[in-house]
Amino acid sequence: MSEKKFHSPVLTLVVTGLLLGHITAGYLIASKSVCFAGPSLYVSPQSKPPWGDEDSWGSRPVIVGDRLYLYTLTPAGKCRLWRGGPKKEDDPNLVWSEINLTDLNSPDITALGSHKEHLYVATREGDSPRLRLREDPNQGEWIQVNPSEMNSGTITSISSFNDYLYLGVTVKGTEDTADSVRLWRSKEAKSTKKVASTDWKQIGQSHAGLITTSNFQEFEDKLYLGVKNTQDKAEVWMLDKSDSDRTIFSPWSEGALSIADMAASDHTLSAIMLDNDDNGSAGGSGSDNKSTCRIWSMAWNEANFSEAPSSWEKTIDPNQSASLSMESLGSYLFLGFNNTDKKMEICQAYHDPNQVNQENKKDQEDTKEKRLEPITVNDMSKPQEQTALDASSNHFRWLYADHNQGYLYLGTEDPNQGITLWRSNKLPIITIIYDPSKIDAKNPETGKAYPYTFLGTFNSKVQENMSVEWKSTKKGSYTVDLIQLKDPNDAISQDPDFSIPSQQVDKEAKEIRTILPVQKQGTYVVEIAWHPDPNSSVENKERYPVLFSLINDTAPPETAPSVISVTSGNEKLLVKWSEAHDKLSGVKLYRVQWAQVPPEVDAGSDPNTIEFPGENIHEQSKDENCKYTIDNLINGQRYVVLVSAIDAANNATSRSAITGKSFGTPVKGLGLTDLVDESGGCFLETVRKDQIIFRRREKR
Amino acid sequence: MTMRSRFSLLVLWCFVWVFISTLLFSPGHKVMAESLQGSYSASLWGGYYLPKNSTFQEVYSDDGEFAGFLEFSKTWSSQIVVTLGGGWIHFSGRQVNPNASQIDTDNEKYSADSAKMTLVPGYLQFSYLFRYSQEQKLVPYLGAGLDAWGFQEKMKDGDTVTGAKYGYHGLVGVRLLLDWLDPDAAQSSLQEYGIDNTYLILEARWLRIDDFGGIGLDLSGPLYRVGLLWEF
Repeated sequence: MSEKKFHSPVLTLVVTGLLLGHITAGYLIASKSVCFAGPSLYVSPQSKPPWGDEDSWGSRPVIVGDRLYLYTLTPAGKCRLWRGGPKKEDDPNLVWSEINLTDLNSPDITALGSHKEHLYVATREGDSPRLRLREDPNQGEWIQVNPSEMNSGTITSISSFNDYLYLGVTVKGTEDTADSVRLWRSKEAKSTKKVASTDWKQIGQSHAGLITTSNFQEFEDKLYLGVKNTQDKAEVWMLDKSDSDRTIFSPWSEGALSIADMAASDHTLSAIMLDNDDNGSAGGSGSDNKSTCRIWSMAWNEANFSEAPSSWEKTIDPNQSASLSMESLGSYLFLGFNNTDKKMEICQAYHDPNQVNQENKKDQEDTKEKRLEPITVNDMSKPQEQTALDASSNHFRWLYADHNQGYLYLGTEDPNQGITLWRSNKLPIITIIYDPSKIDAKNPETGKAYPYTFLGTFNSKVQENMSVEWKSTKKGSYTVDLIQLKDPNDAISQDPDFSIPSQQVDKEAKEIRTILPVQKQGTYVVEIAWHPDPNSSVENKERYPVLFSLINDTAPPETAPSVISVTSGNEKLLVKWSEAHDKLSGVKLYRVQWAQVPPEVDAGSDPNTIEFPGENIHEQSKDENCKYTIDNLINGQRYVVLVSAIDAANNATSRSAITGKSFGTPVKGLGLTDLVDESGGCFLETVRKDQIIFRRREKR
Repeated sequence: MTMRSRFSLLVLWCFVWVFISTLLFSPGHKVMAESLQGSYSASLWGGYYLPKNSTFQEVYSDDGEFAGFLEFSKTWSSQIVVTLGGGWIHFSGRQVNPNASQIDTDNEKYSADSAKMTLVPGYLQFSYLFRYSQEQKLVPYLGAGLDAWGFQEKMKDGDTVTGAKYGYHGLVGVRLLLDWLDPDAAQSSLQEYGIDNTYLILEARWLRIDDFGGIGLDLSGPLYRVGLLWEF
């Protein structure tokens, strides 16, 4: 039995029953499910940071190898570049050292980037933008590697994508010209080669606008960038792997001013939209001193962004609007900002397994909805972790995630205490390893995407073991529990039927294989979670569970196809059939079989008594129309044609019943000239003699 | 009465009305055309051909099909017109199953194979224009002619049958002079291309294309068309 914390059944009975109005169901569900409290985050400040108390943050850090790089600004406006790394593994404090920039003549750093284990530093030196690189960040010469044609503008975004290095450059306009954005990409994708100043090509044209996000965001093999156009309207630009120009997304209304940040998690790209409020003060200093940020998101299978639920809207301090930040870590999305009370607020979007279980929704898509809730940020450096990070004096600046190690970094700024870098405790971020081709899996019949990361459709009657492979950023004990089982009629099973004993993960990022005891038919939603030692002080809300789904389909489609008509042609038969239906995994294909039959075989005969030659079979996808032309038949011979349907789990229906409509006899058809006994003539004979087969017919 | 019959009657009534009203209000022979010498004209037509033969309709549907034509004419005394014309019409249909209702009761009437019929009409016709001046805006006319229609039926996975059918037709129509709508353009057309008059024409014709009552293919039926005519 796994080590789970259960609600008190009596308390659960009362509370859940009152809330949901389904007392019995609530009791059964909650008593079986894993308790999941609201999220919280434990962070610790980096002790004795070497930067001065009066410094301010430059931008978010960047990770190169196992080192964290960031830059700060002195009160005099001087940029200082820092490198931090752990002295030893699991040491919460990073050791920092300043990287010498003196030979660059006091540059303004505008962006940091990581590409193939190299740190790239974008600067403005005088009026010129520069991209710098050096072999060893601590010593040696800073090599200039920016495009040689780049003489103006500011490099604001650096991203490594598809083995290339991408640059986003904003060129400030003049009185006569508008601000413009230029996008560059390195030419060579060779893994060992460092980018040189001649290795660049510009992507598309220079377009009017201003880059508003701090960097590119990679999502589903494409690169995204937030831009404000010349009409002060937000746009998201998309670059694919080709060299073609940007694709623009801008489904929001005119009041959408700018995209503050973007992040991708759970196959969904989210963007923070800074909206114009009623008095038009977004991002500025409106009289009511508040503005609204809304989240827009686009799932992998959607063509455009759509607005998140209104519960995701946040009211922000317009004077601090530049501090909106969004980060993803596994399937978790974090949003940080300063609210109108000038207090830092960190929110987390997540699937609440309890909610999945309690909502008896018919639509699978609905249960995929996440909740965005404020989380408590606790300072682990304080005694007994009791004192929370002071949200009123620590002003939020940015969030940054180390996806490989499972750390979330938080940058705060306090007028009295200077800037502070906080690092979370190591989060148990679980990654489900799945077949990428399954990501676009949809029910072939309904067209609906499956909820959560979808492992695929299985058939427990055929497949001996159903397993899931996963890895986590944290060592420890993990549990795998069935959260929800929906039968083919979309009804939630009242008796979830498995819970796997704890599995030990003794090495981070090690791939773990868990055998799932799946037997019943249905759509399974399963949770994997780090399970703290019940004797430790770590609370359940730090479990960071991950949900995935799979389908076990052991039955053929409920509605089998039947032959509607068999139409004769010259040495062919055109067969049409009715659609089959499979509620669970959907009909994947149809199988057509045909055989010559004697006159004794007639409507009502048993299809299983007919021998279908092996070559007389055709399978076609459900996406094609329910019809097929069987060729190369013998005119005058009588054939029977039967159809069966196969679902996504390879369950096949029996062959369709033999009716009068199942038979056909190929025969040459008659045209108009045949029917009216027209023998033709010589009118066109001289015109197209070589192309026309002339046929003289005997008079009937 | 079918929709098609009603449409035919409506078109016929329109032609008769325009024809009679133009005759009633015509200026008479005393303002006979200033130009009595012969002229040439070319015209482009588009229209709808509705074969009435039931077997034709069975294979190629009874909805009719678009027909395009090109004509060249010679006019004498502004009223007598001899026309040589040709056109192109294409039908798609389905072959008929010869065993329908013979082998299997549920077997369909039609074969799984398609059939395509291409018609290439050619004709020589004589028309009389009720035209009494070069500036007359509405010019009714009637006429008749002889037809020779080439046909080619291609059957999928089968043979191609080609031949010709002969017959005759009668017609009634009205020309609408367009020059007065834009005199400058008309003047420019005259100077640059030598076009004296430009007409919009509406016409209805009744075809009897059955080898003058012979056996075989019967392509008879009404043809309604509209055209643009340039008189040089």
